Amino acid sequence: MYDVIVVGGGHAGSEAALVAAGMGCETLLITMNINFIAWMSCNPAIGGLAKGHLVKEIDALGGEMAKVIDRTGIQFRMLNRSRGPAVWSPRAQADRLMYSADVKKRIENKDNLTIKEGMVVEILTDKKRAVGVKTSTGLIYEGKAVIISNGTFLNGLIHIGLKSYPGGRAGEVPSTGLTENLNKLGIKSDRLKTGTPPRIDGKTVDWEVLAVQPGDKVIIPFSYQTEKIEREQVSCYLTYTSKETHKILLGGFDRSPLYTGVIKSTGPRYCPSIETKIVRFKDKERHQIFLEPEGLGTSEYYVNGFSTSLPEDIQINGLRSIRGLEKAEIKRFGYAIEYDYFPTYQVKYNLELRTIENLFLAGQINGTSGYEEAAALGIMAGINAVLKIRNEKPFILGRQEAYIGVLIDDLITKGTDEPYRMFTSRAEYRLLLRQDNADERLMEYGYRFGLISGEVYDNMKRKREEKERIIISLYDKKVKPLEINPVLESVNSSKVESTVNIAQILKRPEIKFSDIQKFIEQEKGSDTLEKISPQVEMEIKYKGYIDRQLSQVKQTKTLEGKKIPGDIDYLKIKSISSEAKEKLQKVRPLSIGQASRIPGVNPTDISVLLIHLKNMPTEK
Amino acid sequence: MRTEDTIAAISTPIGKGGIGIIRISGKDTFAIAEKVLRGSKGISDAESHRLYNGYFVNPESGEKLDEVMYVKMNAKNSYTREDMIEINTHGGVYLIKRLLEVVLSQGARLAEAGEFTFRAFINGRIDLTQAEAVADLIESENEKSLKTAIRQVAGELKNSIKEIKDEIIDIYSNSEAEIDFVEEDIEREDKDSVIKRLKKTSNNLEKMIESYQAGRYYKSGIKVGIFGRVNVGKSSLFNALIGKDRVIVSEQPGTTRDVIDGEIEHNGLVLKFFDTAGIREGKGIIENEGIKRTKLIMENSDIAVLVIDSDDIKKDEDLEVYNELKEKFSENRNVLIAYNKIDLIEDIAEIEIVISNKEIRNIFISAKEKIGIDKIIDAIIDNVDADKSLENNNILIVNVRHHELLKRANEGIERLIKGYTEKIPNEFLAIDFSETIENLGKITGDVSSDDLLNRIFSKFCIGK
Repeated sequence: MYDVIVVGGGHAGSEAALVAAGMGCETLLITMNINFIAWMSCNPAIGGLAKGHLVKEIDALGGEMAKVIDRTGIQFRMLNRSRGPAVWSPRAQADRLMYSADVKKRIENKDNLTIKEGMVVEILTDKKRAVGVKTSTGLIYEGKAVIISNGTFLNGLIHIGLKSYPGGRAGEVPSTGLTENLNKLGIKSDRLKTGTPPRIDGKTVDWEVLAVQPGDKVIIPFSYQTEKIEREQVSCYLTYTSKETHKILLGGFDRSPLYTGVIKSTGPRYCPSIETKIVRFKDKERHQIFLEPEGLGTSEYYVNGFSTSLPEDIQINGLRSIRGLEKAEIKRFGYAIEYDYFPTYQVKYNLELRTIENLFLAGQINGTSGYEEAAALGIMAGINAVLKIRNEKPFILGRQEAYIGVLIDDLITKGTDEPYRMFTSRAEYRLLLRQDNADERLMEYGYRFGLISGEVYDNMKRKREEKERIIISLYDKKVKPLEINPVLESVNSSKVESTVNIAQILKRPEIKFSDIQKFIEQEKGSDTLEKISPQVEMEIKYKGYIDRQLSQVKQTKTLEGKKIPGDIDYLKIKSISSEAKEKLQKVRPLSIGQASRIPGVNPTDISVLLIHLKNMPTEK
Repeated sequence: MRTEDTIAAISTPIGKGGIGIIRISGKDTFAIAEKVLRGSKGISDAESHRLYNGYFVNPESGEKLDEVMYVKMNAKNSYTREDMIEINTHGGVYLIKRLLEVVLSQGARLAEAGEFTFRAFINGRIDLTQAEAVADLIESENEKSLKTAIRQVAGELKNSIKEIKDEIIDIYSNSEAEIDFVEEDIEREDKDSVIKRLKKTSNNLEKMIESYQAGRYYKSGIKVGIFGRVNVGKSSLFNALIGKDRVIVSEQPGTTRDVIDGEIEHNGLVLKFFDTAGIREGKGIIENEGIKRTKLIMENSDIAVLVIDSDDIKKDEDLEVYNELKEKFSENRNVLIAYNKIDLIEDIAEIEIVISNKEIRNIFISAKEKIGIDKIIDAIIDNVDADKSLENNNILIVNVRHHELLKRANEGIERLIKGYTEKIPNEFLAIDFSETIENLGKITGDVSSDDLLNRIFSKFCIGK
């Protein structure tokens, strides 16, 4: 008898299993092929805008993704470096094999964690409560809670041209039977589509003519626990499609599963196939193509930007019309895949199904896309499964607290009809949810759950105190005109007449932290200041904006505090528009705040709902 | 306000007109009508939206109270989206009230002001702007304001706001795309172009905001306060303006202790005049009270007429009053100066001009001889027209809530312009973008957070 059983060993399943075991639960991870633990099905990269934020948050909670990419990354870049630290985002190319092997090792070395190969086809239930799983060969494992994280494997159907075949990922069989089993238990499923580009042989590329995209000289690690990364980095390369490419691709549209109606489900708008790009943006004469290394021990390259399900001959001819790829050989062809997911209104905020107790959904089967989104859902499902069997309060993060909170609330409240990806613009409190303060926001939770060591937690607290000390000192530290004017003059900033504090000077748009750094006292040999200076600069320079965001949070809290009784029957409130009724009945929001975020529920509906709640008898 | 019961009201002005209409709305409407109406067809058999002839009876006694015409409206197509009946009766005050009492005795509740519209709003028949416009329509005091209200009902305000909101979302989406899709090959909008677009949008908003004053004039009339030290002829001027001898005019200083008002209509505009007690230290309790009211009028007037006795100019005292007025009125031109009693002066050119300010109009009158009264009215109308003309096709803002929200939206845009000018990174400006969009959305009642990503994906080819 296990405490927690995790079905599927991808990015969600791995994090879920590791935290469940880390919290002291006997945990079983069942996956279809142990060689593909935490395998990157698509892009060999971790992070990027908003996704990098998620990785930092997973790290602060005690997850593994950040540590693994720090060890197996082969090119690191901090995106948006030209802007403020709120929207910086780390991104790294990974060595695909090393990444998977690293996670596998962590799982194998983890206490309380057992790993087994097998295909789960049935969730065993007793009175609407999950009690175990059954594999395709009839083996039964009993468990107090079950987490399902099958990624794109459920009834996966791969398309290349007009040919299609069942598969969970290129070269791997799909998982069949589980969706049907869950459908029988009353869980609704739907289909989504995603795609991946071809992989080519680097030996056949004319590198000389391509633009090089090197990594950062100084690497800022993902994990708060990684001291330093000193590794020789490999480069990515940039080229473009041409009119000729587009012509060739269009020539294959009669055999395109997307444009002949073979694929019916929706793919992601932010990661369209090359065929979609040339159709939707007809006037764009060229599209970016990035060649990304698959690893240090292979000559394979990932052709980012060229996701396609066109037939093989079109793929190769199209690619060869691109500068630098005239003689390219494709090692693996691009394809599209359709798979089952379970619309997320069916789960609660702890990711447990509303209708089946102790059964949790995590990862791409919730309608997301991306390793980072999956891992975030995985760690939350893992923690919540443990809390559930211990009869403890669920762990729910608010939208003002974490991107993870935004992710889960969006999925439940807004739903998604395309694979959901995180963007910073989805987070209304973006200035508070920064990649540089994920530890300040979330590490305390990780520490409380026993997933973050006391030492790491104390380090964070020290860093935070140091930062606060420096900020206060900048407001306290007075400088005379004689001291500061030469600095101001050197950057063409107007001189001061009387003594001022340093913070006032730093608030000027033209003044950078480095200009005033010499006025700050710090312990000898400490590198804290260097690490936190962007944070300090931002928190002083843009204090006004941050304070406004904080007051917005306060305002929303009153709406979140207006609770809606669980048994309300929206269909009986006749004054609410029928679209809103349907949505409210489906989502069953917990508060007025949540209700107001449901698309299709407009302010009028909310006013009516408030009137209705006021008129409702308080007692039955 | 409850919405589950059945409401009834007389929906025509009492005492005027040949017929009166009783309106009933709510779930028991037809049941009540069945009891009080006897027609060629029973209520349940009657067709929706057809006029029937019949009798209004007292269900207790069976007595026929009136011969009426009635229309049944099924919820699906009625104004309130509830079952409705309208009964056309013979409009005597006593009779129609009696009929309404009977309806109320059968289970309906007397509707509160605007409650039919409120129900239309919460039942989704009309949106927020339309609901507010209907309320304004009921309140509107003259013909021109009726036109404004009707235009709003047609959704013109909504369309204009939507255009402005759309432009802001568009600029915002460019800004956000730059942040979230830094690796994509997308065109960046340069700062100057953004500032230019924001300024243009702000101008449009400002026009709407400015129209509020004029809009308010057309809706509730122009309030004109008549001020001056004692015994300069304020009451005589007041009487001359409204054309009636309503205020006691006497030689005794301090006669007008109460604030007295009267109104006239001029080219579709209502001018409301307020006569005030003279400003000076009052001697008795009654006079103090009058002065208090005078100050209140000063606060609430749109335009002030300062009356000066040409024959007895006391420069210091007149200036004192003027300075007090100047403080209250932000626009100099909203203070007019009337030099009264010119009939006692031989040569107008000899009158000492107390205040010389280009923006301030000096008008020479004799209230007693009715000289120059038209000039005062013309000056008032000029000021209103200078505010914003109704004749151009601009939207007139008449609703105080809209005015507030537009002002806030415009402040947001001004902060954005400042932010772009100071090169504040756009992740910070997002706050001002979203607040502006939210404030505009509150006017039209639709706030959709997904607009932004939709816009980005439709504009830019995203997909590294």
